[in-house]
Amino acid sequence: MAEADVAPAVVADPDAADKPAAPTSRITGSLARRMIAIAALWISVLLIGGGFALDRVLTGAITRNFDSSLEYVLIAMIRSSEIGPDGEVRLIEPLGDQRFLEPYSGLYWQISGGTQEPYRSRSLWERTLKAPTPHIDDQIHTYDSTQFPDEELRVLERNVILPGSKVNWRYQIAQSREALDMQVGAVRSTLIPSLALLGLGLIILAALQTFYGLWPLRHIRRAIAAMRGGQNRRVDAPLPLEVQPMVDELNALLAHNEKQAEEARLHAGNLAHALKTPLTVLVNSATSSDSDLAETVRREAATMQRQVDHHLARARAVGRRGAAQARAVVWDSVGSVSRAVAALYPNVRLDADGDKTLVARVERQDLDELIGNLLENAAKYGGGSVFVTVRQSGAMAEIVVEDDGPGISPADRDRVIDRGVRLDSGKPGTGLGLAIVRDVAEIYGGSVALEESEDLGGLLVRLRLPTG
Amino acid sequence: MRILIVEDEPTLGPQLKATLEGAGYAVDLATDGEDGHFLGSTENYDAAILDLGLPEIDGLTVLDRWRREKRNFPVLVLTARDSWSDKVAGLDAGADDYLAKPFQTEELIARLRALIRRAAGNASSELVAGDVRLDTRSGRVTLAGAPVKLTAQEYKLLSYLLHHKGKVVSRTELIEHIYDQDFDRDSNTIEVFVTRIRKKLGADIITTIRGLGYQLDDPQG
Repeated sequence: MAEADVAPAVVADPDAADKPAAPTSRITGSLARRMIAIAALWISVLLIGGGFALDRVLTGAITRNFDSSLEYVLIAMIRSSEIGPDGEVRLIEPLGDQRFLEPYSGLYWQISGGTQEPYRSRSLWERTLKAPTPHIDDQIHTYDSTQFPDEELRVLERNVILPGSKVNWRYQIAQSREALDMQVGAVRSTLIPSLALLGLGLIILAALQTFYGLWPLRHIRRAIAAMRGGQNRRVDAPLPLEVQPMVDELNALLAHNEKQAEEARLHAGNLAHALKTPLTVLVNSATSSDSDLAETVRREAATMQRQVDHHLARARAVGRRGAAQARAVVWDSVGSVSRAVAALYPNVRLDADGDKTLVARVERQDLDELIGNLLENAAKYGGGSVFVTVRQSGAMAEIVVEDDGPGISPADRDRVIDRGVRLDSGKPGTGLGLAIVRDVAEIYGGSVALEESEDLGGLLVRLRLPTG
Repeated sequence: MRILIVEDEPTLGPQLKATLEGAGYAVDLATDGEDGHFLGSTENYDAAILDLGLPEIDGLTVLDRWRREKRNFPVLVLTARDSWSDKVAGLDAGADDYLAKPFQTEELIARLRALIRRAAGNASSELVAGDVRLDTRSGRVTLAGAPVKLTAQEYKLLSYLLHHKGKVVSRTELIEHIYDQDFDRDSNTIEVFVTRIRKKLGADIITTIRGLGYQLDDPQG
C-alpha cells in the first residue's frame, strides 16, 4: 500500500537535536562577514586606484624637476659654445659641475655633428652617447636610454645650428637615472605603507560599524536562546525600526505555533480519551468472560476505528491548511463526489443545482472530504433523495445538502454535531461525519449548521466556506 | 458466477477466495497487477474484486486498462485509502463500488451480490410530460431543464403516474406501489404528496378525477 510513511528523523548526536544547526552555506553563514568583506573590497579598490593616481602625480613632478635641471645645463651649454677656427665646436667656459670631469660620474654631455669625433665631457671617458633618432626640429627631446649596460640614463637632446657653421649640431646631456629612481622610491616607500595603513584602519572601522550595526541581531539571538531556555516567551525588548517587523513576525509565528501545539495537545488528548472508553469496555468484557465477547470487540473496534478516522481527517486538513492559496471549484467537487456516492448508494437519487463557477478557499481534497461526508450521511440516513445546492452567500460559498429522511430535532442538533456525545449514541456512524465536517470547515474558517429541509422534509446541512 | 480477485496480500487473498467459494462463486485469484490485468482481459467474469495497492501495475491502472479494452464487468475496489478524493479517483477510473479496509467479509459479499444484480439489468429511459422529465436510471427529475427536489415518496408517485401517463390511477393502486408492506397505509398521505408535487412542478401537472383517482398527462393546448 502506498500509505505515506513519515521517516523518523535521524539524529546522530543525541544532543544535536537541542542545538541550532550549523550554517550550511558560506553565503548565509555570517552577515557580519559578508558586510566586512564588501567593505574591504571597496576600500581596497578605492585605495589602490587612488594610490596609482597619487603615484603618477608625484613621480611626474619629480621627473619634471629632474628634467628641468638637466635642461638648464643643456641651455647653458648651448649658450657658451662657439665655432672654432677649424669649424669645430668648443665651449667658451667650462660647465660648472665637477661631475662632468670625473669619469663615470653619472652626469655627461656630448656635442656631435659633422665629420668630427663627438666633442664630449670627460666623465664619459671612452664612451660615446648614441644619437638614435634624427630630429628635424630644434626642440628639446627627452627620453630614457639603456645604451650603457650598467647605467640607465635620462637623456635630453636638441639640434642646434650655431652662427658661423652650417652643421646641425646635436647637443646631448645625460644623467644616470639612479638619483631620480631613488627619489621616486623614497616617495613610494612612504606612500604605499601609508595607504595600506589607511586601508587597514578603514576596514577595522567598517568591522566595528558592522559589529555595532548588527548588535540588535545578537540581542535577538540571546532573546531566542532565552526563550529556548524557558526564561522568556517572546522577544519583547524594543529594537531598531528595521528589525522590529521581523521580530513582530517572529512573535506572531511563535504565537501561532503555540496555538497549534496547544490544539495538537488538545486533540491528542481527545483521541486518547475517546479511545479510553472502548478500551475500558474491552478490558471489562475480557475479564468478566462476556459471552458475547466477539461482538463487543467488533463493536468497540469499530468505535475506535471511527475515532482514528476522525482525527486522521482532521490532521490531514490541519497539515494542508498552510497552503493559503488553496482554491477549489465547489461544483467540480460536488460533481465528482456525487458520482461516487451515487455509485456507492445505487438506490439513492442524488441531484444538484446552483453556481457552477463558485470557488472556495479550501484544498480540493478537503472539499471532497467535506462534501463526501455530507452526501454519505444524507444517502445513509435520508429517505432516498438527496439534493445539493451550491450558491454564494455574502463572502461565503454555501453548500446546502438536503435529504428526505426523518431529520434531526432542533434539540438534538447540537448534540449530533458534537463528537463526544454522538459516540455514546451507539448507532454506528451517526453524526461522526458531521463532527469531521465541522472540524475541517472550522479549520478553513467556515461553519456547519443543521436545519430542516423545507422542500424535502428531512435534514438540511448548511456548509459555509470562505470564497475569493 | 465467476469472480476474479486481484489481491497481493498473502493472507487476505486466499481468505477471500475461500469465503467466496463457500458462498457459491467460482473464484480466480491473481496476486499482482500484471496477472490480474491479463486474466480480466482474457477470461469472462461476472465481477472482479480489485485491490488498489498492487505490485507490477497498480490497481487504478489495471482498472483503466480493462475499461479501455471494453471489459465491462462490475469491479469492486478494495483499498486502505478511504478519503473521498481516493474514492472519486477509483470510481472515476470505472469502479462500480468501493470498500475501505478494514472491512467485514459479510459486507463484501453483500456488496458483491448487489453489484452483480445491478449489472444484470440497467436500461435507462426517460419519461416526459410537458416540461417535466424523469430519468429512470439516475432518478433525476427536471422542470424545464432545472433540477427539482423531490422526496423518495414524491419521486415514486410521480414515476408511477408518468409510467401510466394518460391513465386514471386510483389511490389504492398508488398506495400499493409506493409503500412497503409494513408501512402505515393512510390514503390521506397520497393527497399530501400530490399537493407537494403540484407545488414543485406546477398545479396542472396532476389532475384529480373525483371519486376515481389521479391522472397525469401532457398539458393540453
